Order: sequence, then C-alpha cells, then structure tokens
Amino acid sequence: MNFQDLILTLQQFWSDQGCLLVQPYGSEVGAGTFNPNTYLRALGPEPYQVAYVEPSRRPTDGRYGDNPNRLQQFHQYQVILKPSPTNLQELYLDSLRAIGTTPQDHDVRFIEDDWESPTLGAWGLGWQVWLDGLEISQFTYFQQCGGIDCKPVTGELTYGLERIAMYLQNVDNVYDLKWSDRVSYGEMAKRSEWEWSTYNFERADAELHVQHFQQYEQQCRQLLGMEKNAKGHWAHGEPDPLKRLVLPAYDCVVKCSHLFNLLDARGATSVTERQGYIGRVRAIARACAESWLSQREAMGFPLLKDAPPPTGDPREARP
Amino acid sequence: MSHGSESQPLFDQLLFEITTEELPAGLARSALGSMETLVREQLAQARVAHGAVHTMGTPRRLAVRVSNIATHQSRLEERKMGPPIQVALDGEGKPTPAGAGFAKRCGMDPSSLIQVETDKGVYVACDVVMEGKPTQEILGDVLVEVTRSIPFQKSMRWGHVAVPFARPVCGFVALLDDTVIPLQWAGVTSGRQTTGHRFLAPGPVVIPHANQYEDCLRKHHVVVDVGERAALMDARMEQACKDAGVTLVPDEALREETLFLAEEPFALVGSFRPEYLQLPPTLVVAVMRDHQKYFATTKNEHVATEETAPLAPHYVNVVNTALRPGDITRGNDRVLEARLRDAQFFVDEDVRKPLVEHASQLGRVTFQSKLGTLQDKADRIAHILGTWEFEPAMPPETLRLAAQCCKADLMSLTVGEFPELQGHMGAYLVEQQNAQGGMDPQVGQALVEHYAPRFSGDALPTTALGQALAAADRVDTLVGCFAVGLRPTGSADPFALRRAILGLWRIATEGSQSFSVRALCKAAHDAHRLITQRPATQQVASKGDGKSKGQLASWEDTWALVEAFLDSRLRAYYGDRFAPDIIDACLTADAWAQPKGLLARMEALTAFRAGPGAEKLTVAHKRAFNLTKKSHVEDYDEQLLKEPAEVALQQVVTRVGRTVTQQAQALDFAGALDSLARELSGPVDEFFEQIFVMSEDEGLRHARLQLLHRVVNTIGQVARLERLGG
Repeated sequence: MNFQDLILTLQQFWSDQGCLLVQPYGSEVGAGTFNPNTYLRALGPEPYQVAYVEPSRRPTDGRYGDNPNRLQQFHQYQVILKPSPTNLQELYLDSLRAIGTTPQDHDVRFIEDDWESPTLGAWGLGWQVWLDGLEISQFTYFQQCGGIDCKPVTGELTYGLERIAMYLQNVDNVYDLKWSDRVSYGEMAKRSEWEWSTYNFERADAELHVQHFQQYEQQCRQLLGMEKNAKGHWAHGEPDPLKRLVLPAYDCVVKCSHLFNLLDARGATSVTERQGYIGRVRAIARACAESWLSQREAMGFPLLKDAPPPTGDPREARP
Repeated sequence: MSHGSESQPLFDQLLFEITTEELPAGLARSALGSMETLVREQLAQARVAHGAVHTMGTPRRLAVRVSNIATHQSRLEERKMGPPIQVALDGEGKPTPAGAGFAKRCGMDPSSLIQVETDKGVYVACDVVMEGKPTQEILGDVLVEVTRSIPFQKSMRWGHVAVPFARPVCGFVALLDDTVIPLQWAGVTSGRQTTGHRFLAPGPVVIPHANQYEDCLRKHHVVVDVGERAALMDARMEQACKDAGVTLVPDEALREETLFLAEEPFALVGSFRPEYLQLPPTLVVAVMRDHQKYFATTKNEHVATEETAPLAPHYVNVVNTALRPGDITRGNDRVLEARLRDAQFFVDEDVRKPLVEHASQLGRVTFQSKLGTLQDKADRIAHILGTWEFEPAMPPETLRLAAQCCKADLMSLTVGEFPELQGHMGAYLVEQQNAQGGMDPQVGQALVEHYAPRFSGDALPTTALGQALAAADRVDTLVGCFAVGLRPTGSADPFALRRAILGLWRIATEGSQSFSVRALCKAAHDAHRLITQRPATQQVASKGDGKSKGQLASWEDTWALVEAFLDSRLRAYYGDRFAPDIIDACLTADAWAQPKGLLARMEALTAFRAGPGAEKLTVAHKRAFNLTKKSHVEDYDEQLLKEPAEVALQQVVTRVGRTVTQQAQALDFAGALDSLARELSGPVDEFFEQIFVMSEDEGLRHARLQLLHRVVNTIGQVARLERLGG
C-alpha cells in the first residue's frame, strides 16, 4: 500500500464512521492538535467528529535528509471523536484492519502515554499504540484544553503516517517509501528536508522571528479585544464575544507557536527565555479558548441542535 | 455497640471484576492493594463477616475474590441514651411526650424504655436491635463504594461520564456464588459477562459461578491471577532464553511492568547486530529497557547485574500474543535496529570531541537562575573539592578535571537523547580518550559514581574521589538553594534537597572518608560567594544570566537554615532506629563536625541508658544544667573554691574531662559514658549535698556556677543528657 493509498483508505474508513473530512490547516503547525478542528472544537458541549491529514513541522527534528527516521516535516492523520465513544479502541483496531494489518497476527499494545501541551494549556491521558514494538499512533482522552475542562471528553487518535507506511511497505528508510506507485517519498521530500533543515538551523533570521512573535502576540490580543486591566493583566475589553475575531486570533497563536519552535531550533533561546515564550503562547492560546467558548455559547451551541439526544448513550451524564 | 456473633450460614464466595481499557502498568499493583483494603473496610462497615480477600488483575481488569461471606449483615445491638428520667417519665412512671418521642426516634415502643444509672443521675435508654439485612441486598452499594474509592495517581473522565477512573471502565462482573449482584456506576451495569483476551479470544466470556472465574478466563487466554501470570512469564522467558542459548539479565522493575502489559505473556527472543555491543552497555540496556521494554541478555550462565555481565546481541521481549512469533520478532528487531543506529549516531558525534570540549559548553546552560550556569556549578565544585582532605592526597589536576567534567556529558547529544545515561556517558568519553592516553582513569569512575546515592537505599560511590564529588555536588545545591531562599515547602521540593541532604549525610557517615558537614557547607558557601557572586564582567559571556543572580544570605543565616533542615531530616531518618530523646540528646553541634560519631553516640547512649549508672549521671547533669542555663561560660577564680566537696569536683572534672575528650575523639562513646558515670556522678552528688551554690558572695557564686558549667560541658561532649526523658 503506497503512501497516498494509506491516506485514502483512512479517509474512507473514518468517513464511513461519520467523520467530517477536512483539509490540513493553512499555516505551519507542530501537530494536528493545533488545528482549530481539534483545539477549539474539543471545547464545549457540542458533538464533533472530524478527520484530516496534518503535515506537521518540528524544526528541531530536521536532519538534512540524512536520517532514515527523522523529518522536520511529517504527516499525522488526526481523528477527533467528541464525545469519545465507548468503542473507541475497537474502532481504532478496525481502522488498522482497513489498512491491511491483522491485529491478531501482531503484537498490538496500548502503552500508557500521558499527553501534555504546555503551549496550549492542554492535557489528556491515553496510550501510545505499539505494533510489534513500533509506536504507530497516539491515543488521547482530552481532559483540558486552554485550561478549560473538556465536557464531554474528546477522544483523539493520531496516526504517524510515515511510520505506518514504512511498516506496511517493509522499508527501513523513510525516503524509500512509495508515495505513489511511481514516485518515492524521497523524490517528494528529500530536497525539501535539506532546504528546510538548513533554513531552520542555519539561515532563519532570528531577529525577524522574534519581531514576528511579538507582533502576532500583539495582534492576537487586539483581535480578541483584550486590554490591560488595573492590575496590569490582560483581560477582555470587548464584552460581546461575537465581536471578537477568534479564528484570526487563534491563527496568531499557531504562528507564534511555530515561530517559537523555529527560534528553538535556531538555538536563539536560552533555557529561561524558552519558558518565557512557552508561557506567552499559552496565555494567548487560553484567551482564544475562552473567547471561542463564549462565542459558541452566544451562538447557542449550534451543533447541539442536530445532535442525537444524549440519553441514547448508556454512559450519559449522571445526576 | 456490639456485633451479633451467632454463627451464620455462608456464601462460598464473592467475585468482583472491573474491566477497563488498558490500565497504566505502573498503577495496577497499587490499585489492587487499595482494592483489598477498601473491600475489607467496606465489608466491616457494612457488618458483613467474611474470610480471605484475594485480588487479581491484568492490564484490562482489576478483580477481587472474598471467601466465606455471611448471608446477612451482623445484628446490631446498640444502647441509645435518652433524656433524664424526670423529663422522660411522669410521676406515675409513664412516658411523658418527651420520653415517647425519644422511643419513637429509636423506632421502639415507649413501653420498651429502660432506666440506666449514670454519673449524672438516672436516664432512660432504648436497647435498639437492628436485624442484619441479607448480604445480597447491600453488596451492590459496597462494591460501588469500593470502585469509586480506589485512589489513582492520575485519573480521567471519558465521554459524558462525570466520574473519574484511571482509564475508561467497560464493565463489571459481580457474582455472589452464582447470583449476579446488580450495581451501576459510570454508566455501566454489572452482570456475569466479561471479555477474553483482546486478540486471542475476543468476545464475551460468561462466568457461571464465582469459583469458575479464573478457569473461564484462562480458557480465553487471560491469566488473571498475578502470581500465576508471573510464574508463567518467568518460565516462558527462561525457556526462550534456553532455546536461544543466552541468559536473562534480571530486571525486577521491568519484570513488574511487563507483567501488567500482557493478559497472557509470551516471551520472544530477538537480536541486533553485534557491532552495537561496542556502544556503552548502559546505553544499549537503556535503549532496550526504557524505550522498548526488552530484557537484556548475556552469554554468561550466572548473572548478577547488567553492569557486570557482558551483553549478548539478543533481547527478550514479553508480548501479549504470539500467533506469528517470527513476524513479531522481525518487526521488533527492525525497531531496535533503528533505535540503536540512532544511538550509534549520537555516540559517534559525541566521541569526536574530548570531554573537556563538551565541558566548555556548560556556561550556556542555566543551572538555576539565582545560582548561575552549570559552569558556575562546576567551578564551585572545584572550589569545594579543593578544601577536601584526601587520604592519600589526590593530584590537584585530577580534582580540577573531575569538577570540570562532572556535568560535561549533559552537553552531549547522547545524554540529550537518553538522560538516564548521565555520568555513564562522561565515563565512556573518558575511557575513549584514555585509549589515546591523557585522563586519570579515576575520573571516569567518579563521573558515574557522583550521581549515587540516587534513591534511599541506593549504594554509595565506592571510590574516594566519587564520594568527594558526590558530596561536593550535593552540598553545592543544598547550600546554594538555602542561601538564595529556595527552600522545600510542603510537597514541593524541586531541587530534591531532601534527597540531597540524606545522600550527603550517608556519604559522611557510611563513606570511607571522614569530614565535617559543617565545614563542607562553609566551603560551599564560600564557593557561592566567590564564584556565583563574582562581578558580571568576569562571568563567562552568556545571555541574560549575569543579571538575575540572587542575593546570597550570610553564612550564619544560611547555616542556621541548613542546620535546622539537617536536624529535622535526621530525626526522621533515624526515627525508626532510636528513641526521639536519644536522637535529641545526640544531635548537637558536634554531630555536624563529626558525622561518623553520631551513630556511635546514639548506640552508646541507648545501651548506657539501659544500664545501672545512667540515672545517677542523668540526674547529676540535669541539676547542673538547670542551675547554669541562665548564665554563660566565663573565666573564674579556682582559688575561691575551698570546701572539700567543691575542690574534689574541681579535680575530678579536670581529670575526667581530659579522658572523655580523648575517648570522644576516638568515637569511644561507651567508654566515655562509663568514665563519666564512674567518676563524675559521685562527686557531683556530693557537691550538691554539701554546697549551697547560690551563695550571697557574688564571686563565690560565680565560681561555683562556672564549675557546674564545666560539668555540663564535660558530659555534653558525649551527649546532652538534659534532653533525655524520664
């Protein structure tokens, strides 16, 4: 199964399960979790099921195309099921069957892996999924997003597409993968890995990125209508959540996060500064989460209207 | 209140199982322990008599069996006290409305009121009898209470379920013999149906009777009894090793973890390319154990530890299924190959630079914003080591190198990727460098050892340099943190100072070197003053780090805090071996200067207290102490003491004082206490018998008090007996 067939198969499988299929986010992200389809949709009471490929950039993982396992840009397949269904693990195993692995012939295990994103103020509990010792997916029950309790809880499945494809195609080097039957992954990505690694580690203009970080941070607050209060803390100055531009503001958060990752790869942050940047991204990410939730509330949580009555689920909310 | 004790017919057993999505392996064991305690507590509270309680569990289930369950709760007989008789009964002895109301509240007829005499007069009372309900009716509530009370380090919610558990709960089996106990929690109801092995026997498993639980599951590839599963796992690992011609390197922590990663464990032996055996063995083991949960193997037939056994290029992998062992092993081999290749890459990169070159990067890393960079720390360690009196002496070059390089491997790619390699990577780099000559091999071992002891009960560094480096590293962190106000509070101890101080103390007391903890702390304080606080212009150029140096507290203030901390930690540390007042009497300033003496002191004093001379000496000491505690030691004119009893005491105290000082220095505290008891107790007694200390004559009073000061201080060289109880 070539790389694009793998994606097509997962798309078909999760579409059949009732997921919306959406396209990757239009800005650089470190993981599918940053996509607003996960980070924002995990908030509040509205049900949501979505699946998408997310090209994910981790500047520090770049190896100039030399390492057979590490890339500065790889692909996640992200599935969001809210509320998390009772048969989430079974659905996941069915998806493995769909891509041609028979779980009973392999050693498939769910190994504890708790997830936390300090920049997003988000955490959850779950597993990494091992297939014959290879970590192929992460499985998380979101407990908090932007510092807000997730009610109901969202289940997140993240497939490491390159890893799975290498397993399925029985190759030891990511660049030997077949992207299609005619074109290799190396053809598609090797030069790109070299260019981006060079850029991330050597050429990126650190000063420019520091400036951009500040400007996007500033812009984010403006879009949310935030002002400094008497104590010098940032607070919402715009009382009507519908007048806040939450999605563009969140876009600024995503940009800040990536700019920070770049500065980190560039070696342009000291340990203490690092903590400072993380805290700044978290602060605006939280502000977006809060605004988004108030906005959805002001809109009357539109997706609740079409939702099946929650009593259908035996695990429904209890008194 | 009493429980009825009439013998009851019994149910054979109660079986309760919580099935879940895969539990974290590290939580299962303690969850089962809590479950047993909770079951006992809840059944006692519900007044249900029972026999043995046995827990079982796998990654997907927590279960408990209780044998010999009473069919009913015990009868409860309780006397409830009511109002005084004059309130409860009228003149004719009939219940007043108040008396009748009390009886009604007890659920009894007013005619059943009885009269009870108490200290405060006669009161009415009701003897209430509550017949036990059938066990079957109350067990549901008991089991729900058990389930919701199991404590987990981290718990979660899922879906719309509002109650927390370690992982989502899938089902309950609750059987009293062959009857289902109905219960509901987290949206799940109980029944007699559980699930088999996720892959080898998927689907429902029906349990007809509680006593068939293990058998039913075993048939469906779930070995639910932990002991049985451990034995099976051990046997299969041993067989797999035998077949492959290797010996397992035991790893208790990994064994415990893998035990809770499979419902039926299978053992497969895989291999890697032998050239990876050139890597540091600790690294190979770390890659296998920490990242893949594989056991290391060796060709040796008898194995003590991973550190001594030469590794074989094979590993043991405990898996949860083995229909196609060849495929599974091929997959695992490939993953390990990729990981080892990665590790090889890091090591190759690191070896290109000598260790001192790695060390030159330390100035770029902040140790703690108020305590400077790792370079500052290394410089301080060098200063502290410079004050250390090695026996035999150590070349200064070796000391400088050890201090400079002890944190250098933190700069290596390998430790960046495998933090558990800290110390080992430094030693490996020393070794590589030594192949070309140049570094004192003692340094390498000291680099590994200076992280020990890492936890309570861990072995100490074995070499003198290792101990000195370990002590210097700890004392630097300890004194630095206290001097800039970073004290542990409550459960927050981010710099692990509690562990650091006990580690330091163990090195001081159990190590091969003798040193004064107080003097070492002073050296550390000097180092902080000289190095961290040096003017910014002398600092290694590093961004932003020069500005935020914290203000260093004075030596006196710092030592007061460290001493109090040490005092409280040692009381806890020795608390299970010595009586609190013995510890109290021996924890004196001398203990910090002479740590090795403390244990001997406490042992000698414990033995002495049980002996015949103790009481007399203690009383003598306390009397002298009480009289002198309001004055200070000063000079006095011995000539003023003329009475025979005071002259005698004066002579004895001088003579015994000399003996005791020598004995104390030789750590012969039993001998010292014996000398004091034999020679000093009598003369002190005689002195108090004959002499009126608080004389009108000021000069004489002063001389007598000062003589008593000498008594107190002579005894105090061994222990402060005034702190002894009784």
